[in-house]
Amino acid sequence: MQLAIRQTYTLAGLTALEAVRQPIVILLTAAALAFTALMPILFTHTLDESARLVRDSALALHFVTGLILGVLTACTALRAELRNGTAAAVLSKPVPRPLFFLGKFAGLAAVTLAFSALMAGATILATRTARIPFFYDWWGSGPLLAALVLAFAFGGLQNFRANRPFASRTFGALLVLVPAATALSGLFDEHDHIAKWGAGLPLEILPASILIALAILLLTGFALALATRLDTVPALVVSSVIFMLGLMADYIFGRITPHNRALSALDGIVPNFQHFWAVDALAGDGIPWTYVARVAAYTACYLLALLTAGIIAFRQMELR
Amino acid sequence: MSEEAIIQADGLTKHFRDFWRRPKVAAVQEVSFEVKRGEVFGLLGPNGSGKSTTIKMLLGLLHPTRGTLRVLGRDPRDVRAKSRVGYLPEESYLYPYLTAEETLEFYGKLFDIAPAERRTRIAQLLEMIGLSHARRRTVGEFSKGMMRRIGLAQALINDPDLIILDEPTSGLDPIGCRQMKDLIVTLAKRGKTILLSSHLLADVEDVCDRVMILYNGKVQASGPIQDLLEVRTRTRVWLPSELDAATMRRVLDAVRSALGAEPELDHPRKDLEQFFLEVVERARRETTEASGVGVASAVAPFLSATDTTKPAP
Repeated sequence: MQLAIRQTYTLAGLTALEAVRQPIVILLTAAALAFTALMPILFTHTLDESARLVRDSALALHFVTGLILGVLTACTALRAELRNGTAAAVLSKPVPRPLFFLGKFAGLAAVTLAFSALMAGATILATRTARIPFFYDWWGSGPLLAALVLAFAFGGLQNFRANRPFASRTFGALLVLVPAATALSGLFDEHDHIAKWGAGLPLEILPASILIALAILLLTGFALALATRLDTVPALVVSSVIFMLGLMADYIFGRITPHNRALSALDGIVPNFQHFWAVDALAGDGIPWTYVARVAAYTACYLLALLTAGIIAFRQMELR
Repeated sequence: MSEEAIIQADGLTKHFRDFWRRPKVAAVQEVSFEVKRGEVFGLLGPNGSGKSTTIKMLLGLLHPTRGTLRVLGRDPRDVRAKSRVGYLPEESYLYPYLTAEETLEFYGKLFDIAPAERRTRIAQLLEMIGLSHARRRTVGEFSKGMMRRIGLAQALINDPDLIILDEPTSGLDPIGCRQMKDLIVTLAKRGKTILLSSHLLADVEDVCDRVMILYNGKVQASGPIQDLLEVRTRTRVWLPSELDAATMRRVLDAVRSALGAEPELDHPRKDLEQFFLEVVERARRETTEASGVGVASAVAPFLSATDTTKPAP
C-alpha cells in the first residue's frame, strides 16, 4: 500500500513537472494573469460598473483559459504518452495501470488547481484596482504586475546561470509571488495607509473562483478519461462539446425537453456547468460556502465515476 | 550457465483486431522458445516480422491471443516479474522536459530504490554512459545517441536479472556501438540474461549465444549462433605472415597434392569497425576537448553479479 502511494506520488509529480515545463502552460498562465492585471485599464469610465465588469471578465477568463489548459494537458499527459511510447516505457516497470492513470490525474489536478489559485489572486487584485470609480487603486494590479515581471526575471536568471528549465522555474516563482502580492495588497488601503489585513480586498470573489476551479478539475478528468480511447484532437472536440452542452444543460434538459427519457438520461451523464458559474450571486448576498460544498460533492461524485471508467478502459488497453 | 529458464514461450500467438474486433493482422504465430539464465539471446527479423510484438508481450504491454508466456517464472503482467526486468525501448521513450538526472531519479523511484542507493546508482550510471557532464540538461535537447545512453541507464537502474534491449545500437556512433556490445558481454558474464532484437546482424553475431529468426510472425530458424553460421564444407588454415616464399610454396604444394585442388589465398583484413575505433582512439589521445558524449567508464559497480540462488520474490 505504501509503495502504491509512493508510486502514485512519483507519477503525479512527474506529470505536474512535465506539464508546467510545456511552454504552452506558462504562456497561457502568464497571458491570463497579465490580461487580468490590465483589465481595469480596459474598463474605465463605465458608469460605476468597472469593478463588476473586471470581476466578471476575469472570472470568465479564468474559466475559459483553465478549461483549455486542463483539456490540453490531459490529452498531452496520456494520449501523447501512449503515442510516443513513454507510457509503455513506464508500464514496463512494476507500475500497476490504475496507479499510472490515477497518478496522471493527480498531477494534472495539482497543475490546474495551481493555475486556479493564481487566477483567483489575480481576479481579486484586478477587481480591487477597479473598485473605486474614476480612480485606479494600484495596490491591486501593481503588485500583480510586479510579481509577473519578477517571476519571469527569476526564471530567466535561473535558466541563464544554472541551466534550470525556464518554464517550470517561472511557474514556481509565480506560485510564490502572486500570493505574496495578494498578501501585500491586503496590508494597504487605497490611500497607501496600512489597514486591517484584507479590508481593501474583495475576498467575496473567492467562492466563485473555487467553483470555477472545480469545473476545470471536472473537465480535466473528463478529457483524461476520453484520452484513454480517443486521440488528442477528437478528445479535445468531445470535451468542448461536453462543455458547451454542460453550459446549456439547464436550457436543453430543463426547458426544451423536460419529459423526454433519453434526454433525461443524457442530463445525468453531461455535467451541468451552470452549477459552477455563480457570478450573478456576487451581485447579491454572495455565494454561500454551503453551496460551494455541495458543488464540491457533485464534482467529487462525477470525478469518481469518470476516473473509474477511465481506469477500466485503460486496464484493458494494449500498448502497441 | 545455469539451466534455469528465465523466459518460456509456448505457442505464443498474437492477432491484432480491427474496430469490429475482427482479426486483422497475425503479428506472431505459434512462437515457442526458451531463454536460460545468463544467455544472450538474439531476436532477428525484418521489419514487421513480430520482434517488437513479442517483446511487448514479454513486458506485459500486449496480451497474447493464444499460448503461454512466463517471465522469471511469472505472468509478464505481474509487477513482481517486472521489478526484475530492465527494458530499453526501440525509440528512446523519454520525457523531453526532464533532465538526465531527473529521468533516472524518476525511474529509480518507480522501483522504490532507497534515496541514498538511488543517488549512488544514478551517479554510477551517468559515469558509465559518459553523460555526467550533461546530467542537468533536459533530455529533449539530447542527440539520438545521448538519448539512447540515457535509455540504457534507465533500463539498468534496478540492477535487473533480465535485460530486454530493442535495437540497442540504433542511433549510436561506432564507438557507442562497441561500448554497448562490450557492456552486453560484461553483463552476461555477471549472470544477467539478455534478450536483444536488432536489424544489425553483425552486432548480434558479436554478442549473442543463440538467435531466433522471425519472418511474418513465424520462427524460421533458431539455435546457437556458432551452429547456424558454421560452413562445414570448407576449412580455413591460418598461417603466420613471416613465411618466406620457399616455405609458402612447399605448404601450397603439400595442400595441392593432398586435396587435388587449388587452395585460395588472401590476407586477413580488419573490419571497418575495428579500423575506425583505432583511428578515433588515436585522435582522442591527441585532443583534450570534446563535446556531446564524454568518455564512458567501466560498468557501474552496482550492477552486481546475479546470485543464481536468489529466490523469486
